[in-house]
Amino acid sequence: MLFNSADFAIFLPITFFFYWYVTHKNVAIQNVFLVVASYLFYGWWDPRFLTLIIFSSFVDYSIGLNLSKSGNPKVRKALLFTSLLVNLGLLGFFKYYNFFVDSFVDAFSFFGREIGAQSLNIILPVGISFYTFQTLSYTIDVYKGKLKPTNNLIAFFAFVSFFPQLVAGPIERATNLLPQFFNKRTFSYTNAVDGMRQILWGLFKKVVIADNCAKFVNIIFENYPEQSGSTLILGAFFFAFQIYGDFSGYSDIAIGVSRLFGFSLMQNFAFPYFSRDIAEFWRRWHISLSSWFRDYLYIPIGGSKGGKLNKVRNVFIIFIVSGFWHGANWTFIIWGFLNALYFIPIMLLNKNRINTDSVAEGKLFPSLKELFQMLFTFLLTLLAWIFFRAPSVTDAIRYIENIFSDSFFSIPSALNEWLLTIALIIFMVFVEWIQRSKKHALELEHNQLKKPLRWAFYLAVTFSLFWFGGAQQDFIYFQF
Amino acid sequence: MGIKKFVITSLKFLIAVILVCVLSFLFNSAYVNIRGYEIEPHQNILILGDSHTEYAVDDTIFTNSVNLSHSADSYFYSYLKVKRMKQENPQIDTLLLAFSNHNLLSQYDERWLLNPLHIKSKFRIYTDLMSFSDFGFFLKSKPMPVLQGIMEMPKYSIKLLLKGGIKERDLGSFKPSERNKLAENIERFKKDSNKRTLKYSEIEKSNFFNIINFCKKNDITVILVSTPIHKVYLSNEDKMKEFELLYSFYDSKLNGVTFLDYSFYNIPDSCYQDINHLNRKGAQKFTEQLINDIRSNSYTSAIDK
Repeated sequence: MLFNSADFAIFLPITFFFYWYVTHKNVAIQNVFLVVASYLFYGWWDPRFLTLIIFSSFVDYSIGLNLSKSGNPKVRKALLFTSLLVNLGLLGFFKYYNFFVDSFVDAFSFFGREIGAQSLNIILPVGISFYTFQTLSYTIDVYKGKLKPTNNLIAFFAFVSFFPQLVAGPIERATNLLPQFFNKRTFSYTNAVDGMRQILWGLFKKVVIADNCAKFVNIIFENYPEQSGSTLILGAFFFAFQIYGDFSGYSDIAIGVSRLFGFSLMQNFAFPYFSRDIAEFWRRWHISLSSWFRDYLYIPIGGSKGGKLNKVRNVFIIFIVSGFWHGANWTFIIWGFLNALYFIPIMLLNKNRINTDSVAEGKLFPSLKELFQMLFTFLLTLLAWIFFRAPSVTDAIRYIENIFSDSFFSIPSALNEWLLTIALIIFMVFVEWIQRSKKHALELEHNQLKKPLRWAFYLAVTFSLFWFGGAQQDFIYFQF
Repeated sequence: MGIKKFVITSLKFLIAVILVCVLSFLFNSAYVNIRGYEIEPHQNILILGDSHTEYAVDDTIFTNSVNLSHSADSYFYSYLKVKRMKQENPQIDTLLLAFSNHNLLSQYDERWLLNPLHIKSKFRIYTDLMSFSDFGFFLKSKPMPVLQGIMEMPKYSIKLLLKGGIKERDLGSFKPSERNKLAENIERFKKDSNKRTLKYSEIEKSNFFNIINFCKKNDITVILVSTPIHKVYLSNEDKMKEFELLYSFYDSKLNGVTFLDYSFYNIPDSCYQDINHLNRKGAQKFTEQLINDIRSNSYTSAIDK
């Protein structure tokens, strides 16, 4: 079920009603209801893949319990290894099997040896990368003693399958989300109203920004050899905002919906395009994944400790693995590699933690230096996004080559068709700039705007979904 | 307590959204009703149909006519228009109605009448002409595009205010076109080899007869018109079957109704914008021929008013 669909518009109020009016007296019943609603939400795509979630949940639940019973380090390691094997094995099979087979075949054929391995027609289960990482965080935390294992089967199943964030995150830590399923949820009016505002802004970013950008991005990337250099720049620019609108929009809706049900999820995007360097960008973009890799991969392999060579190696590992997490394609690996290249110089100069506050805090405009830093960081990410979007590395390189052609300074073709989308992007950037110190762009305080103006603004955003919304597209991150 | 307040606030917001739509609808209706449907007193011929007549019949040459054809208009909309136009303009005594191979086939229902994009865009324009049962028909068939159409009402109000509304002839108009997509359109047409079963659309058939019956009752002469179509299109076997079906329908059901069939009318390639639509030059040639033929055969006395 898509968040931007009529099905979800019906599903959400019904679920909300039953949750708060029918099952509210007992946490256990509420959790059972959440599991059922979540499985219905997920099964709407393809009910066959529910078995995978149930299996994955059951394995980690059992391993968690067994970890608590065993004091033998070898047994505990074996249990952790089993969880990693099952979860990453499933992920590897569904997501990476064909990639590895094709890569092996290509590698052998490069050396003149033909092998007859065959790729399979595998459908990628929606959200597998997200819930796999979420369940893994539970087992690893239990193994490390950071979290007590739960014997509450239903609460655990609800934690793994919680529908707002099941298919595209935020990837929650068990330490944050699981305990919320044990306690009685109380309805908070302020939280729920702010949740609705966050949903509205998320929908705006998805329906108005991302879906409109998608139309142009598809045309430009699919026909890049015939496009002028300036049009190709515009294509990359549109993709930067498509992926931002799409993914941060999804996260805003997920967080907002969770708040309606009395849950608090972590912030996943913190206005990343206002970052002054690439380190800040990565502290603000897909925060739940970056911090997951930091805690469960980067730090265990040594993090920023040790010599410079170790630091560089670890940065490459985390960025390349992060790229590979996004998809079984060399384009994602190069994307990760590029980001590592951007990051390493500032890490070696020890400047990766200088921009931890919000840009131009307390001021309306940034300084010239800050503006330049933001533009430069945005351009770096723009270049990397070309690899992320292109179907192959060769296409990405040719796309970049074509940008720097004679037509670099020409007026982009069909610019007048794109002006409305550009204007909408400017509006989004403007609102987000004003609100950049908040958790989300519609977190308006009572003294910021008078009630009639606030409501007029919310109404305008609501109508804009219908007036300017692009053709409905799937969320990009569903494929990861 | 908090949840009750939240539900009330949410309902208030929903009511505000509905209120804006209702007010916009009332405003749009009032605005277009002021002079919206009124045409010049000398204009007694009404031209209705889809993009075929929209691009082909130049009402600046055909001086006592008014062309309200609109791309992707089905007979459903033409029926709404003829009723209101006659009501507001009693001088209308002739209706030129587009009638070609595609108009009555069920395979075009989803493409035109029930296409979500068309419902959404036409809904805001035609709501004022619709009855509750028309509204119910769309709501039952395609609720989401109807909702989207309703939500677009305020946008239409803004457009009416900014552009002077009905002067833009949102109901439809002659559209002179300078487009030249014939070659690529022919290429695409040749590649499209979808075989379709030929069946009448019951909805469109009923709307079509509603128009015929309405005209009979109100002394309006109906002239069915098919506009010129490129020879490549006509050389297609499947399309020819569609025409055969159209002719057998006409022969069996439309006794006494004039049908001016220009589908096979010989007109040079330079007069087409694509395989089944004329450009400005083509429209001029075709309209002159149409006026001549109507006049010389006295299909209607309305021509020389």
